[in-house]
Amino acid sequence: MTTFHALTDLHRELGRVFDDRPLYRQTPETAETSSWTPQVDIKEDESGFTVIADVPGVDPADVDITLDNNVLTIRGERESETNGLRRRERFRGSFVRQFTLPESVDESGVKASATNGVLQVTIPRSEKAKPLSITVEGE
Amino acid sequence: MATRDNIAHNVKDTLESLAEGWQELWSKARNSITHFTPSNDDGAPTQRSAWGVLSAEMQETATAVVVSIEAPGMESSDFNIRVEGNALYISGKRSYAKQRDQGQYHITERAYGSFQRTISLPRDVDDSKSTAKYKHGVLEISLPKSVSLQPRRIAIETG
Repeated sequence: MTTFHALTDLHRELGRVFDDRPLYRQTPETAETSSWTPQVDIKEDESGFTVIADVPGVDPADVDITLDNNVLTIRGERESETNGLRRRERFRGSFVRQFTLPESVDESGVKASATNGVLQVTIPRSEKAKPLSITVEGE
Repeated sequence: MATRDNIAHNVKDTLESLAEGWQELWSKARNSITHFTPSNDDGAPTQRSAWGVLSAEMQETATAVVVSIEAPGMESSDFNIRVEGNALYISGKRSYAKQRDQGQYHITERAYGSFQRTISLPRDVDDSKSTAKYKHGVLEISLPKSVSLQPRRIAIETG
């Protein structure tokens, strides 16, 4: 595991140097407990944020999503049965990914769904943070 | 200076373990790195990443070769699977338009477009009896071995 740690340490260092993605968050916790990393897309629109993660082979019941102090944590586990394999490319075990969201989200309105190995988490903006359009009244 | 030696030593160690880790990762994953070809009519911005990972696993049982491949975000009907000789061809298309809509994207790591993976099979299989299922984003293809290759139980006749 030392090679893996060296790689994740390097990754973390580089991440600090090129830290131009405020949503992305790599912590010692995520680096050490993840044996693989799901690919994600993160979208922002007027209603809020959507995190779309590829989690093939993960039972939705084994996914745990938390939002605490604006840090969204997605963790889960993939079954680790590997008997009699002739070809082995899939990574097994647990994963963790964390993202820091702006303070303007509504923590109570988080929803998640999973279809065909794709996890979708929607985090709405809080009411006061939604863009207001102000109509100028005529006389 | 001892400090400078230390630094040099640490850098050397880091580079060595980096090279070793990379070799390990590469030997495990290089076959699964798959090119996704975005189609023009799908609405995908051309600059986005077109490399994805379709990790496969092959398991051999007494009667079948079972291939499972991670391909999340598809529908069963999006796959095209065929066997030719000892090669299994799996192709499909992950649609950009179906899954994405308006908004500003902060992170885009997922690949979209058409892909194909070829996996060489260790045995002759009877592709007419092959079955496939798609669950939780993993496609599992079960290819029965040709009958002549299956282990046969030979009964001892009693006299």
